[in-house]
Amino acid sequence: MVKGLGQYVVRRVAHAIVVILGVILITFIVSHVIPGNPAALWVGAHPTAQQIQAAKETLGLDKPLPVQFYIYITNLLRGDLGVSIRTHNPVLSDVAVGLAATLELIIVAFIMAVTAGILLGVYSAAHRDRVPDHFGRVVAIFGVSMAPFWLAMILQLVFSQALGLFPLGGRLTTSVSIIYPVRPITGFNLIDSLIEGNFIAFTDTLWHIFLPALALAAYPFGLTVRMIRTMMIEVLQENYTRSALAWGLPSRMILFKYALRNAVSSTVIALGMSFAYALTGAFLDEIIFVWPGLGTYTALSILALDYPAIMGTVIVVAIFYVTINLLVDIFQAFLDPRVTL
Amino acid sequence: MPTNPSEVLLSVEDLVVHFHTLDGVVYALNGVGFDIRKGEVLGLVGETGCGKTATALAVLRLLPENAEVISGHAVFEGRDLLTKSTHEIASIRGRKISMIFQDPASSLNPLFRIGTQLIDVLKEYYPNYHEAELIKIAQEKLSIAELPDPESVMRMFPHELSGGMQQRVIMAVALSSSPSLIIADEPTTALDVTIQAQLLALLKKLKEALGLSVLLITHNLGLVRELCDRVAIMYAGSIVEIADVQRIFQNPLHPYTRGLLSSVVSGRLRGQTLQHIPGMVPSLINPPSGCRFNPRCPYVIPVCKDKRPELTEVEPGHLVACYNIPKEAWWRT
Amino acid sequence: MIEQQATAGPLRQQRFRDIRIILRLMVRNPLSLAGLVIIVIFVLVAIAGPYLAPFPREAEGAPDLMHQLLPPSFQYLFGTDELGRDIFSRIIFGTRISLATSAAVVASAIALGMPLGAVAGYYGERLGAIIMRITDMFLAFPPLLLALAVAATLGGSMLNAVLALIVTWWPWYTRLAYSQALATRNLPYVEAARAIGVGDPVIVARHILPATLAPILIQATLDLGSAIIAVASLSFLGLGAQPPTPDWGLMINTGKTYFLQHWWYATFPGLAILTLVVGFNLLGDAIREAIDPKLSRRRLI
Repeated sequence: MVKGLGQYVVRRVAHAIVVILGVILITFIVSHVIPGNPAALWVGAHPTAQQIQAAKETLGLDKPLPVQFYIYITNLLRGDLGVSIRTHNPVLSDVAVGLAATLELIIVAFIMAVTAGILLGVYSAAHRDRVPDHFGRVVAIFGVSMAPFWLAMILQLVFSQALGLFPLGGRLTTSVSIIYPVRPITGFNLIDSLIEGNFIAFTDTLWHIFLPALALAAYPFGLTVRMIRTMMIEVLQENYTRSALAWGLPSRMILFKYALRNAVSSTVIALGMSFAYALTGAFLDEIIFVWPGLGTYTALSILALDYPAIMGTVIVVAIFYVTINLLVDIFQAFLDPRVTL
Repeated sequence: MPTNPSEVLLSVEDLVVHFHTLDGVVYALNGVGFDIRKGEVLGLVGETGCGKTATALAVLRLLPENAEVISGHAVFEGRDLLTKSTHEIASIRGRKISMIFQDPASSLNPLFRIGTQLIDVLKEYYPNYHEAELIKIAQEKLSIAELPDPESVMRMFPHELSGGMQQRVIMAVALSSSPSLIIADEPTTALDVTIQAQLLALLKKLKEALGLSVLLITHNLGLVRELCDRVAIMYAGSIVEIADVQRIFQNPLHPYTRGLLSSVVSGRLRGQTLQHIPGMVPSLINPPSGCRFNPRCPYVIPVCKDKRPELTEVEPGHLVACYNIPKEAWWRT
Repeated sequence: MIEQQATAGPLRQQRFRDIRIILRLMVRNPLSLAGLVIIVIFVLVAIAGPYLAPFPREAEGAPDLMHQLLPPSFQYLFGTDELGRDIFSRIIFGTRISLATSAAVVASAIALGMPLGAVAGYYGERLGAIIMRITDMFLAFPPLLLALAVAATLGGSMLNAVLALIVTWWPWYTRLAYSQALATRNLPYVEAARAIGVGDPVIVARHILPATLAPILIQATLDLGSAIIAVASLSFLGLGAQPPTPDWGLMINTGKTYFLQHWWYATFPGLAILTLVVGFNLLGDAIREAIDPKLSRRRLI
């Protein structure tokens, strides 16, 4: 059985590598083949023809396309994603800094969404077509139908501006970041502050992360409720559930130990995809809450037409996404051994 | 009806069940009644769709949500199963009355090992035992079901076993609490003929060793002859005849039973026209009034269309639900 | 001729029966009715826009600097924006844009993706594998991200946003059509058609494509809602509609500078998005539950 899992992992990793190569190719095509004049932008305002030519040479834009692609790939392998036109920093370092902040937000949002989603989904499925189920379904639909940036704005309006319960934005209160600074070990403030026993910064971070995470959690929450509900309903109709009942196993065990696992194993892939949604949702969310992550970085890059930055971000995020999906697939294979056949 | 009340394990009386579907109300069970005595194998025979499985599910309260039990009783150990609370029923299921189903592959949870599922069940039946003891008991049960190498089987997932082995596992689970009654719903229909024979021999052996009663649901008359002590014939939602196995083959009285038995193909009948019962099984959404067999019955009389006939004892131990039992003797070549 | 009848007959009957059952289930479900009502209302608003809006010229962009940033009142139902324009009227005009763009995205994605997937699934082996590999690569991008990149390079405009979204969306339909085609191509009636000698293109057109239709239609209903949010998101980032277009996403974007002091600015366009998307989701959910044979009425716990 373990052997089956091992072979499956190897196959999936090989597949993922091919996909990543494709992602890079597509990104390259999008960024280099489509009209625009990045060289002029690199120079800045009022470029002269000479400056543009010099910029072209620096950026390597005067070479033929296949050569550019070759350079691009080799650079990538060395970790060089180019230099940002806006910040003039290497894109990789810009992205690394932003990625941790964004990931922290997404992970917190996901934990909130999945826990609440599973509970409501199971509850809904167990009371199918009765009032609790209708309630659950409507809540789920609302979760999935809200534009995440709009929800962020409403939450900010109500809970920060009007009620003053939560901060308007940022990751840490300025005073806290000066008096009780967090040393960036992992880049995740929540973890880093705990490592150092810095409870003040920890609670401050939690206080800051709550609203943005909540806004971000709405979509995956709704998705989870729907998927768990559907899968649980299907599972509860299966013959093996009937057998379990016929053997006299208690309902709670059947629901939470057996049926849920059957349901979750099918849901895991969908959750992986909703992680992707969360990535893009996070981008929009960060803009509202002035969260110093990849989203804000990308938004500013777009405004400045900073193509290397945009493309670099896209590649990193895409690779990340492929990796997450790979891990999700492997996890599902671990949960459901039939997948490896 | 029974000769000695203390011998009766389960007594089903006048069970009426409707199913609410998108196409209308299905009048599935139309007053089903029979007894199962201690230590006997009762065969419940009928065509697909006549309500055999529904009857079994009704007894254990496993009917789907759109089913409605209109009336009836299922008396087991002095109490009516149909009126008990969900909690009480859960303590009977698996422990006193067990059920095994038709398709073993889909009856085991594919994500959990055999051992896990078996031990979870044993934990319910033997709540005060340690895990180590339960593992031993589990292996014992598996070897009683004639599974080779129970230790490895425990570690396997259901899809790693063959159909025959899966059904043995299910039998092991079903019998692990020494129930007094086991309901077997077409337990071998989904399996090869050779496996069928093995499993049924096993069932017979276990029944004798443990003194179980068995309600064997099947459409296979050959099986009935092999295994059953008594037979109940079911048609379109009601029992039409009950008798000892020999008696029913020697002297079937209900027109449907006669039709059923004469349509069995046999080498001895070579060269003769294949017999069949004319017409089709009626729709249970719009069933015929009175006796549901009346449109196809060669012995139909006017009263058949008015009121459903009750099961009456025509000779000792032989009950028939018919107003116009054929007078001519039943011939067999 | 004969083969057409032989293979089309049972399928047509089946579909007819299914449609009746589906409609019956949907009428019984209050949620699906609610969804349908919402969608119909919005469609009517989109059509009758210019006649419904109290300030049609403002909706198109004409400023009214005497009435800037007014809170909701009887005259200005949803208040006014920083150029004094009636937000209610702008939202009404924006309905047209939202419905049109999302329909364009979804329809084009289907038009591109469905035939591609059907062909990939039917022909299988090399051609199918190549198509699906390319599809996988596109699917590897988090949805909005690719659209973002494409729209950013093309430049900010509604047309470019729609194009960018089509590029991102087609692979989902290819994959759906592919798995349906795979399932269908080995069905007895398709084999029978092949055996009679019906040519491949005809088989794909007559048998494979219609079989892929059902799941695609369900997905399309739900996707219409997602597309509305996607277009709004791109506009929010400045990559979609440009001022003075009364696009909902753009209004929220402009609104974010003002809304903390003037709550009505971003709230109402967002509510419009929410309501319309909820409508599509309710409907799509109801259709999906009605079609899925596994969600039949059998429940034991």
